Amino acid sequence: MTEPAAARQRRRERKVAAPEADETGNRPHPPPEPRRRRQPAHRHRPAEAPRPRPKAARRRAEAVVAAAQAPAGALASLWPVAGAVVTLAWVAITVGGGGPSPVSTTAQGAAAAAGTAALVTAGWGPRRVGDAVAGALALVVLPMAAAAAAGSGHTGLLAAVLTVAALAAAAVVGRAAWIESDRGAAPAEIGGWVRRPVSEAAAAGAAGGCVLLLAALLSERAAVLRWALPADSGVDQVLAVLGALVVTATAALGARRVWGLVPSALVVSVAAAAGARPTPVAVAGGVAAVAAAAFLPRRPALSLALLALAAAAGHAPVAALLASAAALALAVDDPAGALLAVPGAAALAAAVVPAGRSGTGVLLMAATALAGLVLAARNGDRSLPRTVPAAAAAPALVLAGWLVLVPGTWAWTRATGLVAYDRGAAVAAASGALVAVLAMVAPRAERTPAAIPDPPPADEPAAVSAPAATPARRRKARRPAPADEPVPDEPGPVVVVVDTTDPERGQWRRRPPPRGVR
Amino acid sequence: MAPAAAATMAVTASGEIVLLAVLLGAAAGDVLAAAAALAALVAVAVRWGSTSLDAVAGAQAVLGPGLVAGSAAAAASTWGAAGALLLACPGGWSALAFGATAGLVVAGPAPGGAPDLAVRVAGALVGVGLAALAGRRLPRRPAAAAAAVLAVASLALAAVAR
Repeated sequence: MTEPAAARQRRRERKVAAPEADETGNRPHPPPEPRRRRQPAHRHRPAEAPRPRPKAARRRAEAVVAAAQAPAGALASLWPVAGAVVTLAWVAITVGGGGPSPVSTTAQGAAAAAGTAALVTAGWGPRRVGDAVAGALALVVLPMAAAAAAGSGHTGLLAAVLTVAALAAAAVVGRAAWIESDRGAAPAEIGGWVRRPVSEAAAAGAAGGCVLLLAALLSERAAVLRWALPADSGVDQVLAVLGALVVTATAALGARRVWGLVPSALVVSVAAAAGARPTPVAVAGGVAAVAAAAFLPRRPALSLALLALAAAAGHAPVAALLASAAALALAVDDPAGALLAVPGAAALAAAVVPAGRSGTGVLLMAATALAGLVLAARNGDRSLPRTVPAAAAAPALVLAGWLVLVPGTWAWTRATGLVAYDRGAAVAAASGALVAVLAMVAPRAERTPAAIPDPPPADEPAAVSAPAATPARRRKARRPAPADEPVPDEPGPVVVVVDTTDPERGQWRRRPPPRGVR
Repeated sequence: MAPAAAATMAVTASGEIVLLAVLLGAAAGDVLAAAAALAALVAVAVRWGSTSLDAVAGAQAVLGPGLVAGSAAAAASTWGAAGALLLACPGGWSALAFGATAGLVVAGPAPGGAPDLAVRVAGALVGVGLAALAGRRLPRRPAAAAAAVLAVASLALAAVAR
């Protein structure tokens, strides 16, 4: 059959299948075919090739899945306690100057481990048994990796942790993509026994950051033939800094389960940046910190991390304080977390001002001040919602309070010149607490019924404009309104309310009646 | 709380200049005024060579009150810093903090005896009075802008005097 003949045959068949036209010549539309729903892949699995799996093994697997899916229950309530205990143990090692620990480490390493434990506690929050088990593993292994890296510079365990984290994050991304392509539905709508620990974008960011950090560590290992922090090669330094920034940005943007990786990432990146030339690093880091403050004002952790990297080359103690502030600002989870940078700024000023003119130091001071002012300006709207930290964030918040109030005791940072800061912070905290207590007591006296003016009688429409409840003003308020007083535009009674949002409380204001009030 | 904490630090001259600047900025409630307070206090630190308030008070006890001690540029820097602090004051209870800090800057020797104590108390009282007056009478935005300009000039003078 030639091609035109085949086409004619197809047209003929379609004509036969089409419904008859009515008397007006309109041909009714054929009924729509029922849309086939796409089935998930496991339903497409051919029946002739079932997976050979013994019944007992399958039952065991299902039991494990069911156990992992079970609600965490008591484990969830025990989680903050367990995190606090682990954090406290690492803090004790820090205060003891290193000492015996599961891994050989120094006070600096133990401090990094304490911060990691606090952030894992704050960020994990297990809801199911599987989560709790994974969280417990993270609570043990991640601090040890951070301690080894920050203390003795041995990054083997950290490389293993980063590998596992990158694979897990990539699995989350891949699984979400597979589900989306297979079922045509949004991944968020689909449950599964593998709980998605973070969103796909966050997982992609975490995977990218971990891969970059891992590449830096592997490159350094290839260069010096042992696991060490990247310090010499420019490529390693760039990879480490980029990886730390990606991880920190991912964590700052809401991926709570990535919080535990941030201290280790900052340790690696600060060590890498310390080997670079101070002035270019200070300029680049300072500019980036100000930009981050402008574009992510409600997430100050990224800006603080950039300031820490900027200070790493010339001012290592300041970098340690600022990196601690960046990590703990994640747990504060509020723009007020930017205040954690004050000890670092004070240490920087104490180091720069007595020494006289120091180009890098002045640049860093200017960048820090500018970033702080930008953050203050962008967060000036106090009507924005404030987050209330969860109980699991308590260890991190305690560490944050310790950093702000007594940074001079953080000897592992080797920061000097903070004695005056500690004294002033104690004085300020004491007086501030006293005033807060007085402020809690004083408004009760002001809000007694005698202090609030009586409402006017309901039959007086043009009532009052009295700023205070003095007897003379009350008498004046009860007088009938003069004839030339402007009449409100809205018909009906005038509703008089106490405008409690007005700074001059107690003022009577006229308001149009709400809908339905007659 | 911030005004009370800052006022306590200034009156007792204990603490560190960056922390005091942050508290004054919080009390000011305005970014421009906060920037002015920060620049003024950094100028004080540069002028005396220390960020410790104890050190600033101690230096004044030895060398004389800030408003007369040192070179002309140094004294002018002190005057400028104090003026910036007064202009940055938003009024209300914050006048205590800004005024006490201005008093500490210009006349805040560590009290080694009755004369030093008298100078310091007088400086604090005059500072608080002037800050309250400035906060009440001056329009906020122009005053904050003037404070920022004055603070930057004070910082430049302190750097020159160094």
